[in-house]
Amino acid sequence: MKKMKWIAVCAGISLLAAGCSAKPEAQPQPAAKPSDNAAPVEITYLANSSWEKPIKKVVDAFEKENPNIKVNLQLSPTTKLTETIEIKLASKAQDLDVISVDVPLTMGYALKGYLEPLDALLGADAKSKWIPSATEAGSYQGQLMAAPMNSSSVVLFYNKDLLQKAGVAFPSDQINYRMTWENVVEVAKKLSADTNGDGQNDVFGFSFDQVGKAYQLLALAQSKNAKPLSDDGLTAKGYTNSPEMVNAFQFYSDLFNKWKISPKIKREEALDYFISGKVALFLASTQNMPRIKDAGMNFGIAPHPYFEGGKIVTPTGSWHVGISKYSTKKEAAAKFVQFLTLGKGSKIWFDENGALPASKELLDQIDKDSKYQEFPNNIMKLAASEARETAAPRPKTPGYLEWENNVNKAFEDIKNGSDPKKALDDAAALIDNQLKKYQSVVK
Amino acid sequence: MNRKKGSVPLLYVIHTILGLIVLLPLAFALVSSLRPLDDIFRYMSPVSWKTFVPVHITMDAYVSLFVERGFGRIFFNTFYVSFVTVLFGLIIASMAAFAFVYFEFKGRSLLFFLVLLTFMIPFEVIAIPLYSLVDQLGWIDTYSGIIVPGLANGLVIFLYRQFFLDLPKALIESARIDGASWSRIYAGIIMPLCKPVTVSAGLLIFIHQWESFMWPLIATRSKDYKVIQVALSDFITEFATYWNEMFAGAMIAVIIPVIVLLPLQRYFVNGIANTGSKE
Amino acid sequence: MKKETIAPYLFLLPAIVGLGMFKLYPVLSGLRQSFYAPAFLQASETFIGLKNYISLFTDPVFWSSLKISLLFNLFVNPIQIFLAFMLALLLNSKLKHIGIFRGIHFVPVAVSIPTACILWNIMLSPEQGVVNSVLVGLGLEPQPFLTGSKQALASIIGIATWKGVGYWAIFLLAGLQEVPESLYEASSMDGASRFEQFKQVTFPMMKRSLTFVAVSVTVSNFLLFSPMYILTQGGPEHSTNVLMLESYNSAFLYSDTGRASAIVIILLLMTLCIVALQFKFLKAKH
Repeated sequence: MKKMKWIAVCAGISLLAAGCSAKPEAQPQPAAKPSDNAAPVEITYLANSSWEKPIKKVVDAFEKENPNIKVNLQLSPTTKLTETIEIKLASKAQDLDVISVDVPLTMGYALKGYLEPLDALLGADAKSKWIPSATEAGSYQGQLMAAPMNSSSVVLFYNKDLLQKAGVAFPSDQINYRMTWENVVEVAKKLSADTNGDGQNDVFGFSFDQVGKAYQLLALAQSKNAKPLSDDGLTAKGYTNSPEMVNAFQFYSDLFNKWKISPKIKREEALDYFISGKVALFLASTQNMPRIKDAGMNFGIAPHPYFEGGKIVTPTGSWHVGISKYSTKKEAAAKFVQFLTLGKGSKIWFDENGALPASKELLDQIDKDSKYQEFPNNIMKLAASEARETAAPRPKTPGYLEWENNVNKAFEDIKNGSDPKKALDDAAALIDNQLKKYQSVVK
Repeated sequence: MNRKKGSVPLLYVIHTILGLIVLLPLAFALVSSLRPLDDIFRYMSPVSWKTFVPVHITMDAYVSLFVERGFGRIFFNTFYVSFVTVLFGLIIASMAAFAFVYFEFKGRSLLFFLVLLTFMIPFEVIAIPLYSLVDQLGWIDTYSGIIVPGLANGLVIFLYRQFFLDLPKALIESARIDGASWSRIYAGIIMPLCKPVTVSAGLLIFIHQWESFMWPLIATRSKDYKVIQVALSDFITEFATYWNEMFAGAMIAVIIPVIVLLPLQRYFVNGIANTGSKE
Repeated sequence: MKKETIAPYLFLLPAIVGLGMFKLYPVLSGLRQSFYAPAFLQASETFIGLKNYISLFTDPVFWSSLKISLLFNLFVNPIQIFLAFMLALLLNSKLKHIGIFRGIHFVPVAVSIPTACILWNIMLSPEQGVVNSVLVGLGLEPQPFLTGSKQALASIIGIATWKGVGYWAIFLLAGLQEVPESLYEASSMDGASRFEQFKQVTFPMMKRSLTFVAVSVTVSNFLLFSPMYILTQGGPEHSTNVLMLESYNSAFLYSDTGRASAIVIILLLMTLCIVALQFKFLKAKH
């Protein structure tokens, strides 16, 4: 009798489960099997939600050119893109074909088997069409794993009104007359002010855009010849906490704690501080340009600073696109990747989104086009030459997320007044512990 | 209740102070949502009347939400998803709690323990297997995909159970003697008695669904199914934060549920307290 | 009560199916992970038994996170439960326009955690934050709040309490509505003071609602990590790195789902112990 009951219950469960799937609001799924070559193929592309408008134009142009391929855009907010990719690919779901890859994660994704190598799919000559730093960053073991959509670079924006008021000369926009960090500090001290007399600075001489983030802050250390991680990407001790690193981040700490010329803000607030006139010198990605221009402020641009006697280094790296290993429509996906990173799509992406291109062809166009000689469009020209000559990539390691998360935390602590040496020592110990798991898989 | 008259003004003072503490941060959000984007941080410090009163009032952010960002559809989705979940969630949970309280059956303690366990498990742990399951069911990018996994909610079962335990058993026994079926007792006697708990259980499910973010984000891909929390997170981009639209979105996301749910308050005084039948 | 055969299972069926499919099944397959090493392309998934747990116990990060989690919960739970109860009592008073005040306390409930965090982050900013501007205006020292290792955890407790108390008070308020007026009348006829009335009538009658609130508050706070994730990333100096955040990071940043699951299991066992104690202490006698 008891058995019968259980059978009845189980039957009920399966009935209910079947009933659930037949719910009226469940829309029929588009046929997923590429059984017929003539039938239109639908590929899914996971992208950053802030790209919606420009990427839509690329997709529209692609669909027009390839009427039998439909691109299904899936948008995720910047802050959750990494998690979304992790969940979808770790579950081996086949519903994702083209993935946006933050370039330092290429090696990690490749190791976890998330990405399909692109060499065969895009053709062997594709790799030579982007600037080497971008191709290199998107490759693993000589194979291209993720193709660069664009690159990025950082320039120094300044608020002309604030500089004039403090009697500070405008810095040059020529790459040969670059400010040193020592200059920046000197000038920033003059620009910082307590306007309401409460004993606290409320106008600041200088701020980073990505406060506390490795993308931007690493250039400080690299200018002092620091190497943030061992060559095989598996050891942090002696690298992440090297004397050069400690030295660079003592400087970073002094900006906030000793000289008080930088506001202790978070990354999300930085641009708004510059726009509302609370920060005079603003070291930021070229992609901040549209909002700065829209704010109607009186501003100028200058090249990225470096340490006196040190190396000239600028941040780089940006979004690449890869094809999921679990995709069942790799051919169609490759067509789209080709269109987006090298074909007509790359031009549309550049025109609509404005990020610094990674393809040599587009960079050459910037150099030649007279449009980019004049302010403010010359920012692209400045960025293009930085990308070619001074851009230094972030460390290559399967554990980039581990490394970045721990150093970012250390950078935050240093901003808030922790001792740089102690913060970096702690971070190096934690990173090494987390990198152990890759020892066996990386040769 | 036997309040002395003198304590009434004091109560008003306490209530007003508490109210201010609760609302002050939101006042800041409201004011920011009415400012032009580039002004948000301008009057933050030093604190003056300008910090809390916008100088140039603009509804741009609100207009942009509905015209550019499609918040109309987003609100429809969120409400649709929330109401369906509340409706089915209440039925499923109250039925389960009814079984736990009024029946003795094999495996009751074990099943109840499992129910308790389900709400102690963080979503993050089940995200990957759940995604894989829902993908196999073909529910990715459908309303079912967002709704069905959240219908059975252990916390709500627990809430109903706590309430049912307080109901007099005599009520049910006499109904059984009168020959009422179990479904009649459940639908005709028990449920009408527990309006306040149903309101708070409904609220629990509603808020849970209204606030859910990670699951709707990964379970849907097209804009047609976008819900409010996912939309709110779009305002923080790689390079800039659209503070005014973010605060405007947050304000609507707060005000709408408050307006919808406040009228339900009256059910809070309709409990069995007035029937005097409680043991 | 007469033993029923099939009826209870029918009432339970939809809930059990739903919970079984969408909670228990994924939990089990997630927990299976805690016995496996991270899988990479070259190395296939390997069973490592309790190794994930053993390495946790030798990991100083785990112990420091455990300490922070316990410290956080030691304060946040009693504070929230107590304040929610007080608030429910206040909101239960028969004042004119009490609906308005109830409405006000309902407002933070509808503010999602990320939004609440963003708001409070601006309010508590060490640079020009509204709270610090007020402190400076009053002639006091500005405080680091979320950026000071001694204040960050307390600040997060404050934010969580701001967001949570109104919500939990609603459930207690529903419970208070169920306390029969006649009981109060009887005890006040006996000449009981307000406090005695609370002790003899309100508290005993509220045990079941309190159990619900105490258990829910505890569970949700043990699992709470998004304020730490959004506001401090576990810093400053790891002072807010609660276990759940460590687990989240292990899963999504450190590619170590085994460690993530092992942490959750330990968290779950701890929560269960505390919840069991709560059930025991708040057992209703009537």
